Amino acid sequence: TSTFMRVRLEFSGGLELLFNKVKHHEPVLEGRDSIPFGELLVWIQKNLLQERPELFMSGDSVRPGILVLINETDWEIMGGHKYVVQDGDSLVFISTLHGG
Amino acid sequence: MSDPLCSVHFNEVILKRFKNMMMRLKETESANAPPAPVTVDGRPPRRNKREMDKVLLAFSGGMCSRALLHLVNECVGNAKRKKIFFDVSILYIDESAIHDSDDGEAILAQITSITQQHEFPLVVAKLEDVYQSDSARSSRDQLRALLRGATTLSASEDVLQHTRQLLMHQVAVGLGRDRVLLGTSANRIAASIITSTARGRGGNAVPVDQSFSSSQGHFPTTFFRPMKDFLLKEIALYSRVNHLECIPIPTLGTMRGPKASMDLLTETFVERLQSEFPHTVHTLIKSAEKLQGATIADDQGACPICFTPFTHAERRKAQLASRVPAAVDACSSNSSSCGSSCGSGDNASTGGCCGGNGCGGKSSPVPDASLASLRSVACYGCQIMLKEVSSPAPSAPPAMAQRAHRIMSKADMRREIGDYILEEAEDR
Repeated sequence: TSTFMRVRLEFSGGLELLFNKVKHHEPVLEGRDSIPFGELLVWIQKNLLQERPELFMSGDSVRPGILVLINETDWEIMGGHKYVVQDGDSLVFISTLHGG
Repeated sequence: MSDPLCSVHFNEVILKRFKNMMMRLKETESANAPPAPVTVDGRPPRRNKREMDKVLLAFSGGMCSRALLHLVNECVGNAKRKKIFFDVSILYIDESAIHDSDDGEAILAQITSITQQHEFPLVVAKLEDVYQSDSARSSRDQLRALLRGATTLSASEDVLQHTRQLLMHQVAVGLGRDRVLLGTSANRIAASIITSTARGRGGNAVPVDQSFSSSQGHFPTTFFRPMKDFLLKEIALYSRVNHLECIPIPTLGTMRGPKASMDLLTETFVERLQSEFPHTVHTLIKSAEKLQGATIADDQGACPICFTPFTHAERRKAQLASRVPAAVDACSSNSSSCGSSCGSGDNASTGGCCGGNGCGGKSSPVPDASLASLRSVACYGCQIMLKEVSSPAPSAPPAMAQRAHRIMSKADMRREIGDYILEEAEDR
């Protein structure tokens, strides 16, 4: 079967520097129609992150100080790292570290 | 805010909280306001709420100051709601001299396009203006030498912070605006409480840096922190909801890793705690609010580098500062110009004019003092920082050297006539 899913990712607040200065990514993940958040993070680290993983991730999750929005909603309302990402979801990662 | 809010309500809540801060600002008297006359029935008259208070908004292009700018505009400019009366100018500090990138022009263009949306006039000051030199290249070189002189990232961050603060004072004085708005968030304040304490500034800087408003004795500028109760998360959400464009400008700590300096380390520490215990930042700030710093009676009671009030022990030490090596450094080789800059009247405490706005400058000739020579009259925290500055030390911004010299001159005077004066009380 040819299931796949597409997600829209955005990195901002300086995070884009770790992703070749590219803010928007729309990767296609083959062979599945949903993916747990933690697994998606691992996928991002393997396939999109160019350098300095410790500035993006901490253990299984994002580094504290990075705000995550799922479909423009605070991820804490959506279940945090337990959320299962669906086809078409948008995820925004905003670093608040050393901002402003 | 424990229940989820939709973005419209969220915006309203944030704006309401911010308006309260601006009202509080309006009611705070400036450091240099003349004493309010007393009315016939003995009570002070109420301030005219419609009076336009002049403020300078410090804008870095980053998320917090961007949100500050947007919120101030909502309070001041929105015709639908009740207005709060402020006359706002924006200050952007161009720090491109200390960064290797060529992006200076491009960044400035972005800054300008953002500020133009809000119709507040923009003032651009270069960080190297603290050197007040006739040659732009000389100022840039001196600034670069200053930052390079710091051998640790922590010390560079300290030096940069104090230099920025000095420039803000100078620009504010030059523009006749005695109030500066900073976008400092709650998280930043919480982390700085820990960092400052670890760097030896717990007694004097912490009470100042966490306060809603801080002014120091006879210095004419009051700094306000109307974002001090806003978490970074709230600011980020507000920014997102209102589609605010911000410019992550490279700073000293960019891409250096979470342990490269005290600041970065405590930021990581606080954020990690905050993610598991969401009251961390709030608790840190409430604890620090209980601290009472020293108050200073005159500008001799403040560190010439970071401007925070001396503790009693530091003040006594500054009074005993030895004269000879410092005086040789503090006065330039031209001894006649030294006479006019020592103890000179109103400009000495502000280090002269900003110079950056073509106002000609009334400053007296500038003493050429190395940063290290200020050690004897610096606060404990700055002495720690100076230990991490290389030798030979870079030259200090003139305003700092002038302040240091005034403290030392006053100490000399006190020594010379010491036998003839009665003991002063501890608290003046």
